[in-house]
Amino acid sequence: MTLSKPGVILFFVVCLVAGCAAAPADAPPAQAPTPTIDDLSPAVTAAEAVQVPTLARDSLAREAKRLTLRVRNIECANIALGSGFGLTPGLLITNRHVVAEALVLEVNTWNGRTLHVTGAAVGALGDLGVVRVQGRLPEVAEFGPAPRRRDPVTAVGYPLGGRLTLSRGVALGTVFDRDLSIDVLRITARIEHGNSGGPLLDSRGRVLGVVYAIERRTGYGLVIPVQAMLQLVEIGGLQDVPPCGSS
Amino acid sequence: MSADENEVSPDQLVFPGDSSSSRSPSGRSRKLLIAAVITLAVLLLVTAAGASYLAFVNRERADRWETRANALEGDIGDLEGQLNQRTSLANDLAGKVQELQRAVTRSEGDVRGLERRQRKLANEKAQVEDQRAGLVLQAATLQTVAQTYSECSGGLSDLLQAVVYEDYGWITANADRIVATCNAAEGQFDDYKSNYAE
Repeated sequence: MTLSKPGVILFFVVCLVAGCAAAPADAPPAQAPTPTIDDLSPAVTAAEAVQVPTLARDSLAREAKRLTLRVRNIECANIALGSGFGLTPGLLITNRHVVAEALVLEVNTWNGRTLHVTGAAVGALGDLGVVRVQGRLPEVAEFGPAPRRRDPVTAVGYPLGGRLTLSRGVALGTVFDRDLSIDVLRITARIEHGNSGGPLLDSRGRVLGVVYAIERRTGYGLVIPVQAMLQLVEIGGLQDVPPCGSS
Repeated sequence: MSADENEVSPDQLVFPGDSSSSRSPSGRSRKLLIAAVITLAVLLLVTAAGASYLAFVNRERADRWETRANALEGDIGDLEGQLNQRTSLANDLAGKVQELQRAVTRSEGDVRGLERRQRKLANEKAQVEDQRAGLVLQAATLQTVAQTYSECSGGLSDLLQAVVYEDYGWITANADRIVATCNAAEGQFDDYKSNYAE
């Protein structure tokens, strides 16, 4: 027991010296000041407040108007008016009965330009007509898939030769047309004389078909679907426009 | 030598074989204490040397940290300045964007109005072109009627001349044709009136 006393003293001395040695020589440097960013909040607020307005250029209505054309058919003794839409920059599609028996064909765009017609043909099958124009059409069609029942659709055209009109409705499925021997679309959108040859659009502005008739029994609009339209042209081909006074 | 000097007290007697005199407790403790003190002194010396070394190293380390902290503080100050500057720029840009947004909205309204006006004018132009086409057709029909009436008039004139010259053979041969022409002219005129008369 006599040996433990100096050992304990030694232990404490060593601990004391080691503790002193382990302590830092100086106090740590003062903490750096936190930067004050007083102008940041207004910038964030201002950036969040910016909302890009919807431009008319991007709207379905404007695209539809640019796409749809007014067709004037000067016959022997009458003037027939209809609609059409751009298939390529120099070619538009319409109905056979819009261009039939034409002495002179004229095409107007939505913004008042009158395009000179350089040629026309009609489909051997189906109520389809094709017109070639000099100059460039404002817009060409992008085709969409066949609509399902109750899908919203928009018929665009110049009813009764008046103003360009968008008529909204829904697709009601298909019905068999005995004259054309194909299934055609039936729609609730209001169709008038003058809408013939105009496009039927889906909610994204894609062309679903060509408006061609009004169902007498129900008053619904009838539309040749895009696929049928292409098949009719492919199978039957195109032929000359029936001359004036042929009917 | 005195008697006292020759006298030995029992305390001072050391007997051979008695080892207890050289291993007394006080002597051992002293030796141990001396050894402990020496050991302690050595340990203190070593510890002091180590502590001095550690203190020196820590001092250097602290100096380096302080230098680095000062440098970082300077960097933070620079960055703070840059951040404030960029924030100010961002605020300016945000203001300009808002201004442009208002301008775009105004322009969009103008464009819509102009388009509406353009469509209205286009419609009026198309109507005028329809009327022009109608007038062309009307003029062509009238020209046909006029041509037929002209043929009728010429035939009647020839017929009158034949009557004057009593050329009954010519009259017999052409009278029916002339009358038919005049009837056709009349019919065409009636058609015209029914088609175009308001």
